[in-house]
Amino acid sequence: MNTTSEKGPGESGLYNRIAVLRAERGISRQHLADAMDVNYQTIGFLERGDYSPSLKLALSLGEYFGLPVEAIFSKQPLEPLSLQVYRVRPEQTIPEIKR
Amino acid sequence: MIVKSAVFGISLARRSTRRLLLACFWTTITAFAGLMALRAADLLPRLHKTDPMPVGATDGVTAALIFYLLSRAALGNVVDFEGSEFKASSPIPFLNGFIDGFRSAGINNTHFAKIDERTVSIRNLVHFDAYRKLRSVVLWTALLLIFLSSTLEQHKWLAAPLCFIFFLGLMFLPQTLVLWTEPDMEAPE
Repeated sequence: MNTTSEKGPGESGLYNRIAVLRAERGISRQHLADAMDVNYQTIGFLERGDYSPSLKLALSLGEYFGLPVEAIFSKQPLEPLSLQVYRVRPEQTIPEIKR
Repeated sequence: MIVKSAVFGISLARRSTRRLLLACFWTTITAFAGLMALRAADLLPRLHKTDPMPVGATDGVTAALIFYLLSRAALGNVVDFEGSEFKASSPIPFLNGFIDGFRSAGINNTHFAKIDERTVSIRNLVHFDAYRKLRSVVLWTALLLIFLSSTLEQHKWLAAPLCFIFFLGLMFLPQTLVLWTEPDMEAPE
């Protein structure tokens, strides 16, 4: 997952939520790669933020997850979904998490 | 792109292993070029007083053999492709079927082999990088030859090894860059 500013955006300079969205749907990298018609390694590169996808691939991912592209990729660190939806920070529920 | 997961039973998934293979490959090539130079400079004892083959033919055959074996072992795992298809790159059309068959044995059983936009961009980038490096080498070699031109006759023993290294660089530098730079491969989940 590549969502926080502490982790950094990887070589691409883009933050993304692909790993979260994939985990939510219980999809493997291979399954997503097959659906996107790319190498499964490319999904790993995308998730780590080491590869900047083409517009076509980004739009395909948005279409696949049923979300707008800006909900998946961002130039700014993406907020955790729990914070965005319920305004709950991860450290409020699990104190040992140091962010 | 890397299309085989293993060569002679050695996994290519880890970058450190690939780098070790590349080091062996280029060390062998350099050592062979060095031997060619020593022999051309007449600094090695000859096994036979007269070479039964035309001058340079034995070197050529040995070089071709080394080229073939090592490229199959270490670097044949990176192949050309065009669009989304693997490409038979032989300039001789009737050899393409043979080469395709040869390659497919390694390609079909691997999970690495999927051409997509990232692999295409890597291929383009490493070719650009490799030929930019070779361009510098050619330039400096030309300058060196101009500098040595007055004594070129004395340095002609350098010609064969330089050509050999340059030819291999032309063939394998892009592949070397792919194998050297691609990070560790992840197993599919």
